[in-house]
Amino acid sequence: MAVEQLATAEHIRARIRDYIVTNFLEKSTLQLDDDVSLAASGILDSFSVMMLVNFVEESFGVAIDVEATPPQELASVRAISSFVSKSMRGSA
Amino acid sequence: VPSAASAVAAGPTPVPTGPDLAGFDREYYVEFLRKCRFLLKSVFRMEVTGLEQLRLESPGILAGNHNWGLWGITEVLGLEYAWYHEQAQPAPDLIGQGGPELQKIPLLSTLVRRAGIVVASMQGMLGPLKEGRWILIQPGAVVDQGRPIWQRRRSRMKKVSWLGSERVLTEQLAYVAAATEGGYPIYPVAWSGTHELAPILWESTRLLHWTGTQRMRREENLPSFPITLNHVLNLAVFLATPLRRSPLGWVGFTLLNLYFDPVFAYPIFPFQLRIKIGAPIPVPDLSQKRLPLAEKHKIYREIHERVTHAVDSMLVELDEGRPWVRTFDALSNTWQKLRGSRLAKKLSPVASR
Repeated sequence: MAVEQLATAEHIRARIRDYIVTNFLEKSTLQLDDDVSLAASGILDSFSVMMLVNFVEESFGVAIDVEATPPQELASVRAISSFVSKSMRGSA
Repeated sequence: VPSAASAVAAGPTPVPTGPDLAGFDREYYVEFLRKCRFLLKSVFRMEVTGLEQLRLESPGILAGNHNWGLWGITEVLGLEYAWYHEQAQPAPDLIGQGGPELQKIPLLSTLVRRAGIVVASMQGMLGPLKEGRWILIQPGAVVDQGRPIWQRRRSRMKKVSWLGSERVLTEQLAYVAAATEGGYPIYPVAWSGTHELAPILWESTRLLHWTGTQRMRREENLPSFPITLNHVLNLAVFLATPLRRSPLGWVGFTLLNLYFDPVFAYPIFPFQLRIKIGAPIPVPDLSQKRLPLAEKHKIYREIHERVTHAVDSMLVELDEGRPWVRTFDALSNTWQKLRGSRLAKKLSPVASR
């Protein structure tokens, strides 16, 4: 069970990372670390937040109320994937 | 739970969106612009063409390039002067989009608020558009402002992200996404002239890091450190003074030339401010369509490319027929050839890497 959860978390992280690299960094060859602050590095702005939230909703079937979501939940790839995992468990 | 997209469009986001339009004072600002007439028309000899392209009955977005530093402000003032004072019919409100740092500069911040310039964001664009107002945006912001004079006819409407010390420039698509939320047409605008005032000769990302400028001016998210003709002139003047013999003199010179903008951005050449508005680029209304994200992104990119192409073509047109352009281009070509030559590579270890 724990291994399965770990695999799911890694899968979510990889998909979110790929989406950001493909769409907001235009397939940059540079490594995007899971803990990099997306806002401080300039990757996340109001447009990319909108696209990212749409992507998460579309891909993982969770609904995100951006107004009610604390900014730290969207701070990094790791934070977003944890938030998604939590939401998925909550809605299951 | 509302859809996240609509929530982002309508409400706060994790990035700062700045003050709303509560401080906008149209009457004051129109009068302020009238007082700028002498500066714009006589000092900067401003010429604005293409106003007849505007279809004022329904809202739209004016989007174009941005040029160097403080002087970029004259571009906004110039277009807004023409918007409010040179159109055949009364113009609707024009809401500018700016960086968050603008709202914090003493005195300027007051004018910025009264002028209706908000912090650039999806919310900052969608709100006014839905109220029937127009949007003025320079999507490249500081990335476009930092381009060297050699690239003056090629806009850089991109956003910058930093992965450690590595810079990634990506297409700036937010204004297109806002336009597709109601099918608002985008009018390309080209601004030419301001980059000539204190020409940027080179941009350095290393210097931005080494000097700590990136950390100190994090909010502006600068793309590079500009090395200007002013730096060269400053050095020449410094070397001609006795201060050159003093270590303290060198320290002062270095600090001033790295950290104090007015020292390396003061006007050297007079310039003529030329502004051209292009034909509207139609934008589909996607607000009611549930398109896959990849398809939306493709549409955004296609429209952005059309805007960029239109702006770049107009920049070339605005440069044509100017007496100094041929000489400058010849110098530029020689410089580019020199940079690629074996001699240049031998002389410069940095250039050879």
